[in-house]
Amino acid sequence: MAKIVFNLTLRNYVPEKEMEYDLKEPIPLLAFLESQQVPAEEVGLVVRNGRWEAKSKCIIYPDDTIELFPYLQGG
Amino acid sequence: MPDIVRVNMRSGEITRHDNKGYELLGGRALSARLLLDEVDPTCEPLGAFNKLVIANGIFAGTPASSGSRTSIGAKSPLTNGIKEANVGGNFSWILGRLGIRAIVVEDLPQNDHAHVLIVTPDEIKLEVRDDLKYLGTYDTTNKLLEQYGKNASVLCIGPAGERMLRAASVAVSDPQGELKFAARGGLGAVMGSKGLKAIVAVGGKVNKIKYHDQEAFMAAARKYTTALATSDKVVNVTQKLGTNSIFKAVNAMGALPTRNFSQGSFEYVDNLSGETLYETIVKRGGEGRTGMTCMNGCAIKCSNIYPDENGKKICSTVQYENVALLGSNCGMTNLDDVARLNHACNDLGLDTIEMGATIGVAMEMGLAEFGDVEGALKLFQEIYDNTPLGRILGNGALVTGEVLGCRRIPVAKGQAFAGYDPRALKGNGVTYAVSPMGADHTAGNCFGARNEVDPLGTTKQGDLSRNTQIKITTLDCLGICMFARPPLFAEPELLATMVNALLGTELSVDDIWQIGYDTIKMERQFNLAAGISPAQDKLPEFVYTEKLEPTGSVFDLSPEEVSKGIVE
Repeated sequence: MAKIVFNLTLRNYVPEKEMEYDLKEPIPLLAFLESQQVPAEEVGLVVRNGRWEAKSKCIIYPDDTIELFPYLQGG
Repeated sequence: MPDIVRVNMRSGEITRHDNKGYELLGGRALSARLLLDEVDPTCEPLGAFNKLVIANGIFAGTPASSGSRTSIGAKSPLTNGIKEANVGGNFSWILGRLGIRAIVVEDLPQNDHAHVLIVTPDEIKLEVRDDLKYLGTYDTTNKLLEQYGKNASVLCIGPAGERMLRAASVAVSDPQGELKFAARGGLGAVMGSKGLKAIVAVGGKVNKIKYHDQEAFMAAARKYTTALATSDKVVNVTQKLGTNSIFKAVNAMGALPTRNFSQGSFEYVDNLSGETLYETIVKRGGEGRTGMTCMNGCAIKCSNIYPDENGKKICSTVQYENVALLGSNCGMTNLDDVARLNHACNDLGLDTIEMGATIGVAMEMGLAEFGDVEGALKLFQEIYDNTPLGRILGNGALVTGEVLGCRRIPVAKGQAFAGYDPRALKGNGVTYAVSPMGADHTAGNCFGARNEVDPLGTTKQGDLSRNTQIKITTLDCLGICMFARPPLFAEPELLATMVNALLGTELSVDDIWQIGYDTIKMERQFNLAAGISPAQDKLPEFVYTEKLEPTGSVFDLSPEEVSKGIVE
């Protein structure tokens, strides 16, 4: 099962903050977001299995843990 | 034309003159220009020849949201180079409306008295106030606000500044009487060296701001402020979770300072997160609050009051850097402990970042256990008591680490790393290494650019840091909070319109960013003359050699990549 964590305002687009998905095969993050009706432009930070990934290049594999954050500012 | 006020602490003479020659300069730019023109870069930071510059940004006192920050500048006792730290609060909002752009404090007093400068619409005077000597920042502020009214704003130092400790900050009161801090670089020690305990700005109905085209200014300011006030991120993230909204994200990236920068993530992340901060404040109620402004008219409202279990205030404001440095970096596992340490720093008038790094170093060397809040508070008591150990700690992470023989001292140019480990956010590593400000995230924080540049990558970091430094410095010069940057960076024409409508200039967007560029160039020029050579544009050796878990990353940028971050 792939675990996807929708942090902060991204939580508004899904039923639960942490969702598990039974993926049959790898899927590009952008396609996944579209399937879940999560606006890709709202996603500012993607961390896949503890490492940063470019949103446009990220592929979700069936056992992955993905943390998604909106655009945030450090100050 | 706003004025510059000069206060000579030796003679007690106060003079006021217009800002001819400095008309387009505010905040960090004005501070840099005055220091470069008037201060010998080789002077002793706590000596007679250094000057303390307290400068408003250009927008101070106007309705532009988040646009009345106070810049404080001097040669730093911590970095031995030029330093600027800026802060919210209402001080510059009042000063701007009194027609004052800057206060320059010069020379040293010939006595040991504590002095307070009073600035009102009618007069500016210096008073001896020995009743305030060695009082904490809270008591000092409360006493002065009680005397001068809640519409006044107090800028003051605590005992750490009076004792000229290099981690000393400068506190500024906000509209609620809570304190904000120009924390970095030991500028509180410079103020202390001059025997100046506080400045009180007393406002009223006076408003001397003159607009070249008030209608155009207000239209642009309204558009910018509305963009902030209606932003989903501002309303649903920043106003609730404050700046600590990023805690989990920095942890997820593996860049969170943990146990003296020995790890990049913390197993108690959920206990310290922005979400937990917000839920705790709401659940406990009482004096607890979120969504507070730190200056009149600010639409961002990121301040908070963190209460204890009985709803009584422990500290305001608990924010990201404090939670990262005093929390995970010291192994603290709950926000109550962080808030208590934060309060101690605030009351003493110490930089929470410098002290979080210092206590982390002290813990690594066995002066207390990681996570031992009582042990950490005992170390702060040493500073209150002005013991030799307290003086070592109060002089920051480098002095403490060198005295204790620590090999992992997280500093650049003598100043502690902020809340981002440079091994896992390498753009910030470039900023720490090359900025004239030393290890200061506010000089060019690359955290907001995660979809553009891999934070662990070895390319594009120099350019990212350089561009960020220039843009953030521009905001520092205008007096605008860096959290206001989304609408302004998306539509920088708003900045140009507001500047032109206020001053009658015809600056382009490129001219606006040039302000930041020119300012950093002046700062670097000062540092070179102070003896800070390009050879010091580097980080401590442990970040090049010790792998940071969980990413296993080291700071492995080539010297050429790092040098791309230099603004010259």
